Amino acid sequence: MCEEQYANDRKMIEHYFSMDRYEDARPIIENLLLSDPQDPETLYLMGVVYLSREQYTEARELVQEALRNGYNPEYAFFFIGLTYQEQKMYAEAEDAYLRSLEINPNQANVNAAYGYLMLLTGHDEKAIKLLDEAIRIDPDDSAVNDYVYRFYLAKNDGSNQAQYLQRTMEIARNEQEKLINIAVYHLVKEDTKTAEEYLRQLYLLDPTNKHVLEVLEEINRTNHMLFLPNRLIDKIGGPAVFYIGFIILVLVLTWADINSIAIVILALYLITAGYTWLAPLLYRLFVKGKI
Amino acid sequence: MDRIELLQSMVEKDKSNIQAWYMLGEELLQQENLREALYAFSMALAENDYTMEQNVIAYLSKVFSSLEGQSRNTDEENAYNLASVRHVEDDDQPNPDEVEKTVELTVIHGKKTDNISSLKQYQPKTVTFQDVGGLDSLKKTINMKIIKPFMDPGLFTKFRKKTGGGILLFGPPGCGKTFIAKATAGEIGANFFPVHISDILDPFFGQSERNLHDVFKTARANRPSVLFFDEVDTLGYSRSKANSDIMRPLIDSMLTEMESIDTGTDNLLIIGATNMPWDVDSAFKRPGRFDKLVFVPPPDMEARQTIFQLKLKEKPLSSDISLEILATKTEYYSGADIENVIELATENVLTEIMETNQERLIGMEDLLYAIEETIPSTLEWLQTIKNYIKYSNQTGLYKEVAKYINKVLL
Ligand SMILES: Nc1ncnc2c1ncn2[C@@H]1O[C@H](COP(=O)(O)OP(=O)(O)OP(=O)(O)O)[C@@H](O)[C@H]1O
Ligand SMILES: [Mg+2]
Repeated sequence: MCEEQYANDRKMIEHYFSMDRYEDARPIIENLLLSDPQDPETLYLMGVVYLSREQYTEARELVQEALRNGYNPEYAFFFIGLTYQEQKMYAEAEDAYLRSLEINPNQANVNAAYGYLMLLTGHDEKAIKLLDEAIRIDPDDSAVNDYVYRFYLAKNDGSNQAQYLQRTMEIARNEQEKLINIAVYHLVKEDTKTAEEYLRQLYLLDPTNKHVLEVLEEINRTNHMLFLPNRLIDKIGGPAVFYIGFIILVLVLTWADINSIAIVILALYLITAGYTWLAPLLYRLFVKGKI
Repeated sequence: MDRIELLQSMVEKDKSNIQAWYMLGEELLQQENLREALYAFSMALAENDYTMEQNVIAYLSKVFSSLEGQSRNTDEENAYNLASVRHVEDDDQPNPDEVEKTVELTVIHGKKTDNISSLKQYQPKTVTFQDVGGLDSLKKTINMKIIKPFMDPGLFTKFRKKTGGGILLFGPPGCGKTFIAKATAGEIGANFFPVHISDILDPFFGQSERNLHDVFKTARANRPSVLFFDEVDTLGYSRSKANSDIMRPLIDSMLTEMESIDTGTDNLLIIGATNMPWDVDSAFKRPGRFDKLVFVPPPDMEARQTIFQLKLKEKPLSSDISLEILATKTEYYSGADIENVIELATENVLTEIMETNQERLIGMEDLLYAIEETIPSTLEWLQTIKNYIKYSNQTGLYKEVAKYINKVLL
């Protein structure tokens, strides 16, 4: 394939990824693989598509192959760590993050993801240290800030929640991201009415999003139902468990500056991330709450 | 696995992968397997994809002209392959022979940097409203909102009604938006220029904007014309959702180009289409831009009959086929869904023939069975827009859809 065509295809893929339309990019990536099945960049892009389908094992295998063919190991190990984390294989996830950080400890996103992993596994202090480090490395990274924000949500730390919400508002890349964070803030504050308004706006931006719709409909149905007191949430398994699965995918944003593939992932992560946590949130708050 | 096998497995898995069919055609032709190559190319054309049609024509005329060239022992252009033909950039003095023709064919889609060309040599088959079954109220709307102002701008000037601005066709996938845009061009006797984001987007800084500009220039040079932006949401993706600003300059260029058009004097009409109108940036929907939203609903009874008739034309059918019954049983089915039904029925009959070694025709039973085995793909879209209307507290832009939904779904 001639180089011009390759560059054009890459541009189209990047464009589809920037709109979170991974399936639209897939045929182009398939074609690229057809003419060069070993190309590490292309294998990696295919990995992202599988990640967006939540097929973590396949996604990982593709990136492992990309790695063998010379793909940047910092990113590859980070990606691999994320797939393990999504599958709740925490030891393997930690291992992958450590390998990435070994090569380059100055990665805000990897530190933040690792910090979040520590939160999930109950190592709060280590989690804080890693998240602080992530913020130190790149205070303006919106994904890193999202992680920290959600950490304080999970910890039910009101003043830090407000502070990091403010921060995420300042550096969000678009309206959608802002709306996600502010809606969650009010949900957690048990201010359903305000939350509903933000969720409504969020839904209008993406009416195909089933998670947001579910929450909206649930709110409508239960209308003003008081949210569970924290006591009850603790019973369910503590704030950390409560938020399991809720961001996980958020990071990778900083790559945008490093290379263009980045845009790719970051898009995927921020959005799916924002949405995946809504489902468990709903489940915990409404379904279990009624039992 | 070699390339041909790989491609064959791809098209087996997905018969509508026209890219794969196309590449398979190329491979087979290189192996001089003309028969199968032509079959692959014709499969590549099955989706009525304009770009693909151009590619196939360009490639075949290239190959055949080079065969001819060998015997005549002529110029070096014969060495072009498809890729280089599509991207010829500074072909200063095109030869007045076949080579020129193939270069011209690619004028819109080839990301060429040189400017205007005449499309006279390649006119896609014209379709008109006669070819579009049913959908009478849609045709009427298009007549009022699009065709009349275009054909008789004087009347509108007299009443000081502005005639600028483009039309945005929206609706569930596979329901004929592209088809209707083409038919609209046919109705007003205009040249039809379909444009997709992949024809515009270029990795080099500023080149996408230049490509877009050239598209408009070409359409102007071939007036009257209809410039059709398919999947316009990928060109004017909502800023509230975009993950980066890289598309900004292109969006701005598009808005500027659109505003510079005076339909009355320019004889140039802009039509966009999208399945996801909520993803189109609101700046695109302001006056002077895509300010007329037209809902293209799933085909009605009559439309479904026409589609069945059209798509069954080439099949070996038994005499018990009733288009009317088929249409009745396929409410909410899109054009693409109907095609799918026919494919499924055909497949089942073929399998049976191979198993029993007894040849037979496709009958009504087979089609009805296939209908039962499938569900219409438009329902999800309709449900989505229904929720959208519910939560937006106002029907506003989607009044027509609200009417449709209330009428058919309740
Ligand atoms: N009313 C109709 N009359 C005749 N044929 C129709 C009609 N509606 C749809 N079709 C057929 O259905 C096929 C699909 O239509 P088309 O590709 O225009 O849909 P679309 O809305 O542009 O789909 P997409 O959203 O997938 O781009 C066309 O090839 C056309 O032949
Ligand atoms: Mg179409």
